[in-house]
Amino acid sequence: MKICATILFAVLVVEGNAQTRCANIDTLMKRVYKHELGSQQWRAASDSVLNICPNSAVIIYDKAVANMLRGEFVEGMKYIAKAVEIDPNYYLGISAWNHMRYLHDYKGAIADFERLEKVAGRSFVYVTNIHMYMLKGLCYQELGDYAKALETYNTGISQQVADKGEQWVGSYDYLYRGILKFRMGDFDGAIEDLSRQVKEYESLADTYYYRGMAYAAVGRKDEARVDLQLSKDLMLGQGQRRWDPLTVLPDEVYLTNVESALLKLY
Amino acid sequence: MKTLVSVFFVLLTYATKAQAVGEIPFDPKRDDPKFQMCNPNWVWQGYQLKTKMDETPLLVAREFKSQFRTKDEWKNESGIIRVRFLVNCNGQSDRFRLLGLDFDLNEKKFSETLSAHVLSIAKNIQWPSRRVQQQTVDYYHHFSIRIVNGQLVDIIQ
Repeated sequence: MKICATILFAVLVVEGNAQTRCANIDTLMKRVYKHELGSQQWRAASDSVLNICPNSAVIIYDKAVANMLRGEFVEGMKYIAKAVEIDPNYYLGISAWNHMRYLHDYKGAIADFERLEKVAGRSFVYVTNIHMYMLKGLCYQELGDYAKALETYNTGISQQVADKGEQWVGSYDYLYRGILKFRMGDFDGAIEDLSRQVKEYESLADTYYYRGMAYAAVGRKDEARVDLQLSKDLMLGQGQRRWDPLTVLPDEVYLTNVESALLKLY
Repeated sequence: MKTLVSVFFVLLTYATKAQAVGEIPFDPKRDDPKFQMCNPNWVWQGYQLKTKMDETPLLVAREFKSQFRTKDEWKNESGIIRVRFLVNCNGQSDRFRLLGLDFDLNEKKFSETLSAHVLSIAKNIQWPSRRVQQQTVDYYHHFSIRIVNGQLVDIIQ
């Protein structure tokens, strides 16, 4: 009984020191990061750091990620909402991104982006490493509102060009807009954007696939064949394809898609 | 004081039994007792094992789109159903668990028949064996579907 009371007292003292030790959150997080995210050992380390720093968005968001990654969405989104309360400037964008990525909740994501724009007082905000309007545009596209998606992409791209110059547009921005134009049936517009994208990122198989599809749609079969074959070669060789171990991306291209497009051409 | 001590003990018990996030312990009421894992002490997560050229999502989408048949009685059913389960080193799957959410992301219960239908499609999919250094391993996997008025509208993988 005495021992228990002592341990309990010790726990309470640690709690009391909590806020003063919290300045060290980066050091404390190292204790958490050394365990596999979401594992039993991680949980123990994570809980103890959260005890010390109950208002640290960093530890709260780490808990969110562990839950989202493993499909525990209710818990995960609760932690994300908490992180947003603490640091809306940073976590609103992250929240939107989680809504999109794990739940395809595009309306929820747009609401977050709109709040973020108000909090930040401007629309040119990077979320992860993308202009927020490119992600917001993708949400409209996925909701089927192509006109709004195009308008949003246009603003995102033109803000970056005006502010930083043509070479500072995001790595996939023209791909996003090119795919949207392709979906809208604006094949020439798609070819134009995807050709810009090729200049941005030459070894990306996805771009050649969509440009090949756009060429095929306007009857430019030879160019279509060259692009689709190149897309296939890049996928099978040293090139890249957009993929993510955690989720399937919107408009992700698989080898099967490229091969069946090639077959249709012949 | 007594209450505090009991609270402490409850916390201590919880701490020793704390599970990994998303862990699915065996439940004799719904799980197959014959389902075995090669290494129950080291179960991987699907996202740790996915490879660049993996096309499982195409298979899953095809299966769901072709096998999902809505029913009249589900016309008021909307939300997200997440399916989480284990795949063992022999490529068998079991311990399926559903999590229902409404579109505000609150937990909700879907109709029994709809849940059973989703579960049966998920169970019939041949989930791939995954390898780590030439060895097949056990892993957790999950995916979700979005349902609007009883219709399958999206598959989230």
